[in-house]
Amino acid sequence: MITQAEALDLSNSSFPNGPEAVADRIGATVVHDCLTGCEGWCWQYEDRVVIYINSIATRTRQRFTLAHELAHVLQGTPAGVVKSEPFQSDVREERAADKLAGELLLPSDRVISMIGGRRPIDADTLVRLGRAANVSPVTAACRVVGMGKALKLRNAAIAFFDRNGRYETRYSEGLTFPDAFAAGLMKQVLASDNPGTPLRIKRDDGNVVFGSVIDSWHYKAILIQLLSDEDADGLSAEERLRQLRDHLFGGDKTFEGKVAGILGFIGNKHRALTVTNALAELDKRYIEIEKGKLSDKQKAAIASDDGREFLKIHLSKTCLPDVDAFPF
Amino acid sequence: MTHQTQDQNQGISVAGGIDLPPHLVGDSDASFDASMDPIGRRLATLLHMYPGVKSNFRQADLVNMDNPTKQKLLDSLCQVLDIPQVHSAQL
Repeated sequence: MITQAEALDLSNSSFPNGPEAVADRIGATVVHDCLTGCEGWCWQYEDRVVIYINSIATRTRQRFTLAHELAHVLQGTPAGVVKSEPFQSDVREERAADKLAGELLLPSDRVISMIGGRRPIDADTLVRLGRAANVSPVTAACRVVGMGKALKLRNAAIAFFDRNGRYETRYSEGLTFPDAFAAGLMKQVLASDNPGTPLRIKRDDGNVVFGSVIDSWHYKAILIQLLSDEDADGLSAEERLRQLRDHLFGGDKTFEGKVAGILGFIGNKHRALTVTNALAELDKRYIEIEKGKLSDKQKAAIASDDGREFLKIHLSKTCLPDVDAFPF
Repeated sequence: MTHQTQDQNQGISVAGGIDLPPHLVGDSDASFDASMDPIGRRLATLLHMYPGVKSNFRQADLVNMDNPTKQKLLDSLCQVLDIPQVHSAQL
């Protein structure tokens, strides 16, 4: 058996397949099978572990169930039959397992790297985070809430609603608010012309409440962040990415396609490199190969500060974070 | 010492073997409720026999499961306990 710290290291180095690597390391038998009435279960006896996962569930749900059951094994707490939604149990041990599961799926370094020190964090960024880690945006949101301090948020929480927008429960590590507040926030967002646009509410105490809605298949959720004025007015990583894309490509789909192709290739081939090293590799090999096909203006755009920032944000989805520094 | 017992479900006499460990002798556990689902009863029996299994399984977990899922739950417990599955020789 390995320790929690070893499992987290392994998850980080095996990203985005952390839980699968941990299961392999502890010699767990993992069976994906068609199940009714539950998401899966785990039995542990002596050094043997058998985990069943419901193969009918979405891929991201299956991965969460695996990570959750592994978390029980690593924490030495009894696992059982999984029925509740992630991060919605009111049992202490289940919440602890959910928290560790989130860390196995989305290691802290990766989250910091992908968000890049930007505040606020909106639903689009959570979707990008989720795609890179093969987890749901809600799991990504719960990681953001758990990493509030590291991401320099004043506080954060996620409130869950059913498909009809009725408030159900919340997940937070300290931010408290009345149920009616969460319900009111969701109502305001849904009543706006574009529910995808985050809501900013200035409070008398100088804080700004920032709410961004995640529309999942099973339920709606709203990520609530408490921010300073300055942070609330900033651009999220996704808003900045859109700004850079417009500035660099200006609607030139051919140029954008070429850069996307290079980024996709290097991102997949060099997952083990840090963002800075992957960028150097991109400069050395791939831009060189494509140079003949790029105009002087396009080459200059890639070499500009905005071009470098655009490339770094993209590479942060797949490559390792730079040590002790935000990559952009 | 020879033990003789009878499986209530199968009506098969079993004889032989070894002394039973103390935790298997004595008052029956409350979880061996005769009204239980047969698979639930087998799960409860196995968990009682192997207290080293780390699990927070509850009979209520079976409520929404269909029979094939319950059977998979039982089979997987046998798998972790390293109990070989016995299949009928008859078609």
